[in-house]
Parts: sequence; C-alpha cells; structure tokens
Amino acid sequence: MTSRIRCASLTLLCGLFTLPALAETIRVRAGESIQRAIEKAPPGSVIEVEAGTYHEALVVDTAGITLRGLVSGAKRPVLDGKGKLNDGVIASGSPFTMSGFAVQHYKGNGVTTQQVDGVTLTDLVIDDTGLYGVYPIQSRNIEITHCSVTRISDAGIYVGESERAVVAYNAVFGNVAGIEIENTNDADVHDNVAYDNTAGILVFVLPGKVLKEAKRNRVHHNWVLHNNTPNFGDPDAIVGQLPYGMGILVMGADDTVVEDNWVRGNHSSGIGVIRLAREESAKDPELEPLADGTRVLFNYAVGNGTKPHPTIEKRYGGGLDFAWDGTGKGNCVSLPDSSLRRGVPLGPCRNASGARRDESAGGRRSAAALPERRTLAAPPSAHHASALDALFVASDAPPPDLSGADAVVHIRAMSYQPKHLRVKRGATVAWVNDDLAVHTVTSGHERTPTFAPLQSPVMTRGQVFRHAFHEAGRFEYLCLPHMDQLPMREATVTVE
Amino acid sequence: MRLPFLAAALALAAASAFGRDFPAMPGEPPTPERAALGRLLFFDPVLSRDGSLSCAHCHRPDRGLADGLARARGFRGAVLQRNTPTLYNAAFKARLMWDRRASSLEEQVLLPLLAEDELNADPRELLAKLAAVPAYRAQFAAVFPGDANAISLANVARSLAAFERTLVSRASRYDRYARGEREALSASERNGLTLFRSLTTRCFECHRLPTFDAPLALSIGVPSGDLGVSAISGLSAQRGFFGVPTLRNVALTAPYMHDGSLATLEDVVAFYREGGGLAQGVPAARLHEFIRPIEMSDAEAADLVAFLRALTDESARPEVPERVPSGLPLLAP
Repeated sequence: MTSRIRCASLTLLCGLFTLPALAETIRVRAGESIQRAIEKAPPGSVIEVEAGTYHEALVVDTAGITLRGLVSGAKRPVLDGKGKLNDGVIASGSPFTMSGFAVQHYKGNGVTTQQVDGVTLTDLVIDDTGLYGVYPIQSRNIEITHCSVTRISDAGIYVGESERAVVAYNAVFGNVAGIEIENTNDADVHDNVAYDNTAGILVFVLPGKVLKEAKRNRVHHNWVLHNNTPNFGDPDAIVGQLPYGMGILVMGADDTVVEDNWVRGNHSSGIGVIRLAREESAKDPELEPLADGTRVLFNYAVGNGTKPHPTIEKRYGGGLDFAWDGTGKGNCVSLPDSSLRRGVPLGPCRNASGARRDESAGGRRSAAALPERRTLAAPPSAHHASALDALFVASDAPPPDLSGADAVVHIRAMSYQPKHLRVKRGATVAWVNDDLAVHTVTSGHERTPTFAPLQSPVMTRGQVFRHAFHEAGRFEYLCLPHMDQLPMREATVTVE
Repeated sequence: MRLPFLAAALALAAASAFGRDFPAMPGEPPTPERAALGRLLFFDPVLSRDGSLSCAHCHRPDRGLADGLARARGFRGAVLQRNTPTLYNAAFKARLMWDRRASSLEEQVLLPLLAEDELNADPRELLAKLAAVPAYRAQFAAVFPGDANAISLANVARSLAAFERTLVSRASRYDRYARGEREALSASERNGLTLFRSLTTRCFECHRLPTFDAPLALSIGVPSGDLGVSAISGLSAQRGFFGVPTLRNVALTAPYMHDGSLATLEDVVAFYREGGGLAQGVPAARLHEFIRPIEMSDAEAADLVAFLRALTDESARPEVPERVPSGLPLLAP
C-alpha cells in the first residue's frame, strides 16, 4: 500500500511539476545582495543573513522561503531604505518566514505579505517605514511575535482582510495606531505592549474592502498605556482622523472579546465600543456597520480620560475608561468599580467567568512555538500579590547565555533582582527574564519612560538584554507593562 | 521513507498557488456546443433591431474585446454614456457593468441586447428572426435538446454567456512569472510589478492578483456627472462609484476610465500619481481612502506601465466567423 501511494505521488509530482530543486540554506554576508540570494533560492530554502546594513527592497515570490537574520547580541542585519526605497519586503510566496532583522527608513511600508498562507514574522525591529510596519493583507495563518514597531504613520502592525492571526509579545510605540485588526476574522492579539501611540489597539470594520466583516477577534492580556501622541497620519485616511488618547477601540466588529488588558493613562478613552460612522458605512451597503456581541471582560481600565481630545469631550462629555455608543446587539462589559464609564450604559457580561474559561480554551492559536500564556485567575488589579507565584515557574529550559556580562539582573517574580546595581564604567550588564510574563528594561523616571539609553525589546521568558555602560552616572529604568508596580520601576544602575 | 518528503514538496507546491489561482468561474460551465452557438450569435447583426449591430461591434477581437473609443457608439451611432469594458475574464466577475447592476453573464447580456440605444432588439421580433434561419433552428434544437421552446431569450443569453466564459486571459507573461519563470518579465516589468504591490502606490489593493480586479464599488474621482453605482443603489454616498475593472489585456483597451477620458496607460498612471480626483477638486470624503498623491519617479511610472503591458494574453481571442447564419454582412473592422 505504501509503495502504491509513493508511486502515485511520484507520478503526480512528475506529471504536474518538474521535480522541485531541493531546498538549500544560503548564507548572505555583509556587502552581498539578499535579493540575489532570494532569486536563486529553490522553494523551501533558508536564507541566513549576517549582520550588516543592506540598502535593498526585497521581493519574495518563491514558496516557503525563510529570511533569517543572524542576531548576535545587539548586532543584526538591517534593511535600510534610507528614505529612498518604497518597501522593505514584499512577500507573496507561501509560506513565508522572517526573523531577526531590523527594517528602517522605507517610504511605503516595512514588511508586507500579500495573499500568503502561513506567515511567521518574529523578532523584527521596525522603525520609520511609512504607512505600516508589518502588513499582512489577504493572508491567513499568521503569527507576528516579538516584533518592535515604531514611528509608523498609520498602523504599526496592521492585519488586513486576513484570517487566523496571532499577534503576540510585540511592542508598538510612537505610531498612529499601534495594532490594527481590520476586516479580519479570528485574530488573537495578546501580551503586546502598546504605548505612546495615538491609539493603542484597534479592531475595525472599514468600507471598500472585499472582506466585509471582522469577527471573533480576541484582544487580551495586553498593556495599553498612555497612547497620547497627537495624530500625525494622513488626515484623509480613517486612521488619520483618530483622536489622540485612545486605548482599545472596537468599531463595527462582531463577537470581539476584550479581556484582561491593562489599559491606563490614555487621555481620551480607555476602551470604546462603537459603530462605523454613518458617512463611511453609507459607502458600502454590503457591510454591517454595528459592533455586535462584544464582550469586555476583566480589564484593568482605570486612570484614562484625564485630558480628552475635543472630539471625545464633545461626544461623551469628557474623558473615560469605557464608553459604548449605544449601537449594536449583545454587547456587555465587566469593569472595576473605579472605572469611569460614559456613553450609553452597558450591562455586565452574564456568566462571565464561565464564558471566559470557554474562550480561553478556544484553541484557535496555531502558535505551538509560543510560550505558554499566563492567565491570571482574577482581574490583575486585586490579585497581584497572590499571582506572583504563578508568574515565576521553574523552567527546564537550558540556562540563558549570559557570557560576557559583568553583572546580571534577573527579572523574576515581577521584580528586578537586584533592583539597584553598582558597576564600573565600561561594564556590560545583562538582564534576563525568568518570568512567564513579558518585561522590558526601559529608561525612565518614576512612571515616565524616556527610552534612552536603555530600551530593551519586549522580553519573553529566557530572553537576555545587554547594555554596556560607557559613561558614569545613575541610570533609572522601569518595565513598561508593569511600571504601576513599585518593584518594576525606579530600578537603577549606578556607573562609577 | 521518502513519502514525507514528497508530501511536503506537494504541499509546498500547492501552497505556493495560494493567491495565484483564479477563483472558480461562477455559473454553468460552458459546453463547446453552447459556446459555438454563442459565438455565432455574438458576431451576428441579427441581434440588433435593424441588423446593423452585433455584440462584436463594441467588443472587437482586434481591440481587446473593447472598441478603442472613449464612449461606445450604439444604435444608429448614438454616443453611449460609458466606455466599453473588455470581455476578457468577464466570466469571473460576480457583478458586471460599470455600475455593477448585473449579477450574472446571462443577466448582463440582455442589457445591451434590449437597450434602446444599443442593439435595441425587440424580444419577440428577435426570436422570430432567429426562428426564420434554418441553421439557428437546427443549432438551438441541438444545443438545448428536449427544450420545446429552444429559441428563447433565455437560451440566447445562455449561449452568449457560454461563449463569454471561453474568453479567458490568464497566460500572460506575468502568469509565467507567477509560476516561477522569472525571466518571463524584464527587469523593468518586474520593477513595475513591485511598484504595483508597493504601499506607495497600493494598486494591488483593488486590482487584486490574479484577476487584477476586485468585487468592489468605489470612486477614484474621475470627474464626470455620471452617478455610477448610486443610480442603481440609490445611495448618494456612492455617487461616482464604479466597479473595479480588470487590468488583464489593459494595453489593448485604451482609452481608459468609465468615460474613456484618459487616452493612454501613461495618462492613467499620471492621474493616480497626481492624486486622482483630489487633484481634480473632488473632496477626499467622496473618494476611496487610498486615493492620494503618489510620490514616484518618472522611471518608476514607466516601469509600472511596462508591467501593465505584460498583462496581455490574447490566446482566447475569438475567430471572426466567415459568415453568420442570418447571412447578414459582418461588420467591417
């Protein structure tokens, strides 16, 4: 039976295609062309790129290509458009994998995948790449993880007209929109840090798209903090019209779950559930513009709305932690009592904990490689102390590589250990995350991040961040997701 | 032992086809007999009231199944409202006509057939004329066996639709490139394709691969008094909206836009570069949000046009019959 199947396969293979060339691993060295390597790579090949700067716009139309940046400490390959090239990467081959690159200074976009089935983008550092940082469009089975995206004039991570996406463990900051899930079904957006954008996380239905819906998207366990940057997008684009100070906004999407997020310090609105504006929905009668079936559960949304944008002030009579515009069916919200609500009153989610268990066990995540997701047993506001044990779990993983470090700070059980460190000038300090929670090492004073000189990526368990201190001084830092907790802010390195 | 490898290779080959295969063709699959009858009807002026016009009058095989005119000429030289769209790959469209009012080919073909300023056929008179032609009597009976009323308007529409379903264009040099034949496109054309898929131009967002169109109604702001889709939908927000035309064989079908107001592909690219309707004073709120000025060099614009010219494939171009069953004279080309 087996041999018969094999014969059939061979016949099929030879009859339909010329036998594909065997996949290769191709090494690109600094000064060489990555695009040239892509063009000669057979389907399924891995292209390893050494650290260096590559002034290229890449096009990947071959199936199964992996672009692997070889990361060594702070060194990694940089795709640099120098403000002249249009797009960092356009990929249409399925599947497509890319990791370990920096992508910067493109006019149009950082990395786009178009009609790709199987997109894996991880550990990309994207800065100033035009309209979007990462843009899978009409794609499916997508994972975008451990990327950092900043200074993008529309959406840092934008998933458009796609199906089944995991967007997790990313840091998006200084963009107009941090993460935008648009006319997309079954996206799972979790454990991201979105701060200093105009708006943190958007789940939208917009007109003029072939896919007319956004259903069953989940936004959970994210940190959505002080997204108060004035909008610097195209004023004629819908995202360009967003007021500043927006945390999470669900617009026109259906059956969205917004659960267990920290939403703090957004000056206009913490979490909003609204319809697509009439003047927009009128352009597309095939689209259902109301947000139905939204469940807003267990979010720590407090301290938002303190300095609202005039649009929000006018519409809702002030800033807010939560607002519903009164449209759509089957929406509900469960919030801390201290949360400031405006708009039309919205009832609590019935049977919330049971529903929550079901949703958490939903099993749509295809991300086998992702770390186990931490699920707090209760709203984080009340239960941090008791949750600490759950955050730090002994690991069987090999110990992280701490070679070359003169001093090590462990981030463990929601604290920097030691919190205050003294080193000699020229010393290299390594931080290692021992928790299941994600953390950052970010320069800042008290609760105000300044991002220099320390700016780590969002570190997942086992990840190491190194910094060499060449100047004397006192360097204070904090953890972006957890700066509300004293052990995770006002930590220092004193360089003598 | 090699089975997993083969399975993986097969899966990879199959996966690479995602987004490159045409969608399934809606409607009844064409039988050769029905398409052959449809072809004769397509070229036969018997379909028009006065025997002067056929479908091929506006959908000319030597003009990319369009007519080369800004706006079509209809019954007795009437100047029609809009530019004639190509019939290549019309069979893949879920909605047809510039204003998207028809939802199948069978429905669509009756519109120009019966429109007063187009073929202007009177249904009863047309069926009588067809029934008077022995060759049509025989062919309709053979193609629609068991149909007591074989020469019917519905069967005329079915035959024409079947013929249109043979007018497939998907063997251009671009298609060879998409299958992995890199050298099928020149460096300039490949650069044009990259620009087409760039977020600086966003061409690909509406002219979606591989059909190079999309089932969308929107406005790019070609100034005209034409209400477009809003005349059908009744929604004033859709004023000036039109369906997205395919770019397959676009090099053959100048002039462009719903009113034929742009003479060349270079003009079309220039129109988009300047910001479409924005540059013509159309307010942004009336336009699709992707319409805005595009920063692009002249060399890039030339590459984009070069790529559009690589979308040409006339392998399904229909043969003009030497004569048609009615015996009426075929149109001079």
